[in-house]
Amino acid sequence: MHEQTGPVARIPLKGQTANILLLLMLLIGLLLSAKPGHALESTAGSPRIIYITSDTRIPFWNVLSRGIHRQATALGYQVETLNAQNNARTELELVAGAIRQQVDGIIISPTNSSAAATLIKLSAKADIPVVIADIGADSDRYVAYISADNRGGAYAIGTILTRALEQRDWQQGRVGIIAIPQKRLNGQQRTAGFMQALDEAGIQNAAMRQQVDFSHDETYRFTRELITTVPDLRAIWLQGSDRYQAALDALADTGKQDDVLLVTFDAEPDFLQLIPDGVLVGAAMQQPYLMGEKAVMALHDHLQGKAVIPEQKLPVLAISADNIGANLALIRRNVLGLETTP
Amino acid sequence: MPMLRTQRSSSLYMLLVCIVLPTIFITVSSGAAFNYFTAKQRINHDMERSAAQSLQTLQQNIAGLIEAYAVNEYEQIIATEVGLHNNCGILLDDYNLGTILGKPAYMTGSLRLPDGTVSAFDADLTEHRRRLDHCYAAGSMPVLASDGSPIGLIHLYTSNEALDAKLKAIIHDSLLNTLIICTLMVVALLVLTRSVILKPLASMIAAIRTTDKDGIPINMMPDRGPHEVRTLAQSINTMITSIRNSRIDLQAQKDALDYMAHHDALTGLANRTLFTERLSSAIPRAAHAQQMLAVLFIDLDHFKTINDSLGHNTGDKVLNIITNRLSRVLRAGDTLARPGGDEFTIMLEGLDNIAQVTACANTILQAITRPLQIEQTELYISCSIGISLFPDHGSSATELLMQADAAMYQAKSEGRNSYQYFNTDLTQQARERLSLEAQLRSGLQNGELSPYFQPQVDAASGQLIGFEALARWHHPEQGMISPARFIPLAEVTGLIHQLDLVIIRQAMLQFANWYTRGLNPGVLSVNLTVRHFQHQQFVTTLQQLMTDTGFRPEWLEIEVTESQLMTKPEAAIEVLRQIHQTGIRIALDDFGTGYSSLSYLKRLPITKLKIDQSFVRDLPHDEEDASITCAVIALADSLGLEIIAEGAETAEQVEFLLAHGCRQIQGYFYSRPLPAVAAEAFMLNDAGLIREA
Repeated sequence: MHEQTGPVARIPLKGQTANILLLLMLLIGLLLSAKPGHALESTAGSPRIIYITSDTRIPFWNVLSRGIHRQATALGYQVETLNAQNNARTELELVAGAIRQQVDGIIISPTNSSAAATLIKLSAKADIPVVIADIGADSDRYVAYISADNRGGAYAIGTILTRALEQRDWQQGRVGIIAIPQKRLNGQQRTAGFMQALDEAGIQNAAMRQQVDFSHDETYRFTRELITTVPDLRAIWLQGSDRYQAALDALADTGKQDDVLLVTFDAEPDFLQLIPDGVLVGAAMQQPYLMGEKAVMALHDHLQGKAVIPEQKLPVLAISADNIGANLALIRRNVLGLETTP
Repeated sequence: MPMLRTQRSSSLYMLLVCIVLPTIFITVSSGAAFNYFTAKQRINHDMERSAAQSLQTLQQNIAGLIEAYAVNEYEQIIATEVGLHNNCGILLDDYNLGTILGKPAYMTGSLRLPDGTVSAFDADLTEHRRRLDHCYAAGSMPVLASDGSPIGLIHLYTSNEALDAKLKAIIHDSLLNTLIICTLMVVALLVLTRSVILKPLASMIAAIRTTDKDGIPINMMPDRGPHEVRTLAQSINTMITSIRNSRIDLQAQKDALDYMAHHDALTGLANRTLFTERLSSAIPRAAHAQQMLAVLFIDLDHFKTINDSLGHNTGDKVLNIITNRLSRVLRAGDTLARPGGDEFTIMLEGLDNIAQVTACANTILQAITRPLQIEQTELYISCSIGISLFPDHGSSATELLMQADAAMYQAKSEGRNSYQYFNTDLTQQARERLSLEAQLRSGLQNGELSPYFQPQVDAASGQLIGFEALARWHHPEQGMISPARFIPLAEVTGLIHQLDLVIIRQAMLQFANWYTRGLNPGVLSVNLTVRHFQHQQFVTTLQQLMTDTGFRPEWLEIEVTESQLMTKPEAAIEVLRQIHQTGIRIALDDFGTGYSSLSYLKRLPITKLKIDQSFVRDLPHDEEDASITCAVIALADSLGLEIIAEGAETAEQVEFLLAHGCRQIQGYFYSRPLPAVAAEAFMLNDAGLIREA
């Protein structure tokens, strides 16, 4: 949990009155201080933002949280990250607590899009704006929904994989998928983009396994099942990156590490080495750090009374050994959040 | 062709429609209403069951979601349930989320808005609250966790839209069915009625309307259609046949009645009506031809006696014989009629002089007086003829007949068996006679007739032995009217029967009064016409009279004239015997004037002979009367009968009679007939009678 103390924030008021007041305060700040860039630095009385994430143990949400903290702090907000621990009750309790605290805004990476609808509903009832960061929401009453272009990213990594298969003349082989829950909108979009790429290349999908508990054992088991049940299996696509090691272990244990290619969606720090080494053919890398920043900006703009684009799709970086070097800085900041210092 | 007048009235067709259509409508509507209410109950029941099932299903589906805090999921399920099952609304109290939010429950749900859309329930919206208040029904069910603890409460608000829609559909269908069924049934009924009933009926009406001049259908009714209509047609045909036969019979009866109305049933002669018509027709002809016309009114003399003595059959035979005789003596153009009884009328036309009439009258008299042979009996009869002439005695049929009738009575009064031409005096007598008859009838009714009592005396002892009651008429205007005037009239008109009973009743009352007062009037003698003795019930009549008046049989002596008794002796003997057996004495009056058979005399239950005054009148100087009187006294003596003489007016007569054995004497010598008061005085003074005798 990160608690940031930012500069004195501008009081987020709605409408023209708020704008006028904000302008007056800025002018006063400029007159009293020669450092207008730090004028927003403040502590007590700053507007508060709560970020509720489904599970901070997952690196993706952690990186996203850092992006939120960096941007919120920069804008003078107090920000707090709360971990729902992938539990709906906890998630609800956190939202209820935020409502009771009468925070100024909530950014949520919900456990699922359905739960997000309830969270948005409860917040809306309390007149607290909500920005959804990734996952999605079965509601349109959010201020903004910041997401990755899952379909485009999946399509791109699918294209990298099909090229790799063609290079190896394995286009007759089939591809297995270990998917995140397809109930999630991002899961559905990823599958669709990837399948489009396979279809365009004339490569068949062999089978799909859907993750439930996201454990190492689960991914390992699914990988082995695909290997054993699909004789002509030539590639496996992991729709999530966190259990890539389980897949590698299964390939190694089955002796298929040279016969079956592995691609992922999302990225881990180790990928900076595994992709150049050819262990992984490639990965479609979301930019969670950037997503966090965009979420704060959307909430901020809303509180400032500005128009906000309700749905913002951030590009997904399709990284292979061929382009990893050129995108390394971008990967480190926006994907892995390694070079950001609050 | 006569047309039947038809009264304006509704047709059978419309009548059937008016009866059947409401009946069918009510029946089908009742069925539809019953179906409607049955369906409503069923739908209500189904809705309740469906609501219960929905609650149960929701409870099962939602319980896990509440436990999993899958709020959006169960909200979608609720919204789907509202949308799919057309419910009014479903609310859920989520205790778990309520706990999180610091409230008893988190209320959520969906409801159907009036426009049909499903909306998330917002408790803060009054419209939503009101919408739920207007739902048809509501039910709740707790939601239990897997451990059985309550985690929520689900409320199902049932909409009546489905119910209304179904009921509307039922009403629509029922109305449509009712309309179709009614229409079909009415059309079928009317078509069938027209073809099966109305057409045959129309044929019958057409047949009935085609009638002859008497309004009787010419043709028979067509025999077709259903059983009832055919039966009706057959009945009408039977009726038509009967009417035709009845018309034939009626015509025959009419002809017979017409004949009877103008003819005498016994003789076949024209009756008074026809005779009058013919006479009326003949008068103008005679006037035109300037000829004389004569009307002869013939009445048979003493024909009544024949009827009474020999019976009506014999009388009828006599009338037929007379008819034949009259027919034979008349010319072909003359008219003979029998107006009634023993009367005949004759019209003689084309007469030139009165001598022809006189000749005809004489011929008739001769023809009738010839002896009549009826079976083994030879009868003699005569007639009296009255004659009127046109134009001398009248110019109308009624006038001529009346004048002839008057002349006939004149002929009767002048000894019968003769003819008499009408003159003005005759008319006056006839009028008087008619007037007297009417006055006698009213006099009997008004009590103008009363008995006078003439004493009967034992000449030897001078004692009163009784009174003979004699009818006397005290007319309120004319004073006392002679018995010689009204007794014959009473006999001729038949009033004598009533007269006898009136007199005997009053006399009995008077005698009973005297006896009651201790007086001794002796025996009451009364004259009775023989008519009484020709009826068995007369004995009963007498007994009733005595009972009514307090009279005793031994006080009574009935006098019956010899001549009357002998006209029908056998019947009279039986009645007299019965009377005699009751203790009543019987005297034979006017004995010696008739033709009494001694054998009958012996058989008659008489106790006394009464010597007629015609024999006493000239005693003792007339030898014949003296001989007859002595013979009668001797006869009575020899038969053991009492003897009384009437009409004794002188002491010589009394002495003669007494000398020859007749002690009982009645006559003016002792007293004229006396009214009751004078008779009573006579009774009280009867001691003086001996001195006078």
